[in-house]
Amino acid sequence: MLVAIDFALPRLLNPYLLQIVMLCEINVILAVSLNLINGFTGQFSIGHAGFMAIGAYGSAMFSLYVGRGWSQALLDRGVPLALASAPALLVALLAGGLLAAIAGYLVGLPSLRLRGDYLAIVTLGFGEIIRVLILNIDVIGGARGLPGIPEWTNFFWAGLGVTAVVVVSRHLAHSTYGRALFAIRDDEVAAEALGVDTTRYKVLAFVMGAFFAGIAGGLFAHYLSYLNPNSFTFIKSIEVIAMVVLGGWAASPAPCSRPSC
Amino acid sequence: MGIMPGLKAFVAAVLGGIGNIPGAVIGGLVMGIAEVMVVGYLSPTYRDAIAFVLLIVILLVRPAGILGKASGGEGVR
Repeated sequence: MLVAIDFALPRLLNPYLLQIVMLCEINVILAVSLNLINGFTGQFSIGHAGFMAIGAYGSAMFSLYVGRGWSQALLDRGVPLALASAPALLVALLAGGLLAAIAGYLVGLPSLRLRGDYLAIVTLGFGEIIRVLILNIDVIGGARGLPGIPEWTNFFWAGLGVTAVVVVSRHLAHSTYGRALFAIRDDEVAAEALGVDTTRYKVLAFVMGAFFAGIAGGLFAHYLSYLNPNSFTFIKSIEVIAMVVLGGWAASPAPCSRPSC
Repeated sequence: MGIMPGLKAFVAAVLGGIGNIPGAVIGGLVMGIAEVMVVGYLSPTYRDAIAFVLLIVILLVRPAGILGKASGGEGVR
């Protein structure tokens, strides 16, 4: 179905509307992944743009140095462009996601000790540190930005990302892991008393949320084909939080995600 | 200037320990001196990063801030 929509959409919509649709998809991935941290686990994180930036730059660097060679080799063998870019894009997205997940693990660690305002300000600081670091690393463009990323993202890939994050968070909400996350959100002390390994689940939530934010960043990079650190400011994190709040904390696409309903 | 001064004020307050006036003063001083040192000796572009690096390091060592109560604080386990 995604392939059919991907085929039909550029013929039905003008490029402007198509761009809006694509950015919507990327933002859906971001919002659902932040919901894993903020909504499910109740850990108030305002550094999501940082994870997205890591994923975006990680996957962009992979594509520029490795992925482009793969797709060119496939093109030379007569494979059509849409198929030739597929393996390179997939690996690039996963690489970006993994880098972001590692960062999520590193941010998840302080979350073991901090709560509320303190955790929020640490995650915020983390997002800003990432942005300033990117601004200062010359290999990835620094303040000039990173141009020339191959334009591989299309509706199909973004749709695949949305499907993945929605399916994962939906299944998570109904699994043992999801119940544990809800328990931590509702009352951490009680959850721990009941034998929930709170540190492990908190880090898990951060790692998963960061992984999908990294994938959204990778899609974003391969869609605009240009990255600039100014796309990943504090305001971007606030935007994602606004999206999550607008849709409802901890609301998942599943008809019933809360244990109480 | 934008949103940064407000953020840094918050960071300085957290650094010293929220709800603690001497702590806020110390937090502001520590952060201001650290920023100027980084601008002077390292690179002006790292100015915004050092405030947050300092914050994370101090919160890891003392989760309630420099002068915050060691345990039983609002934000700390």
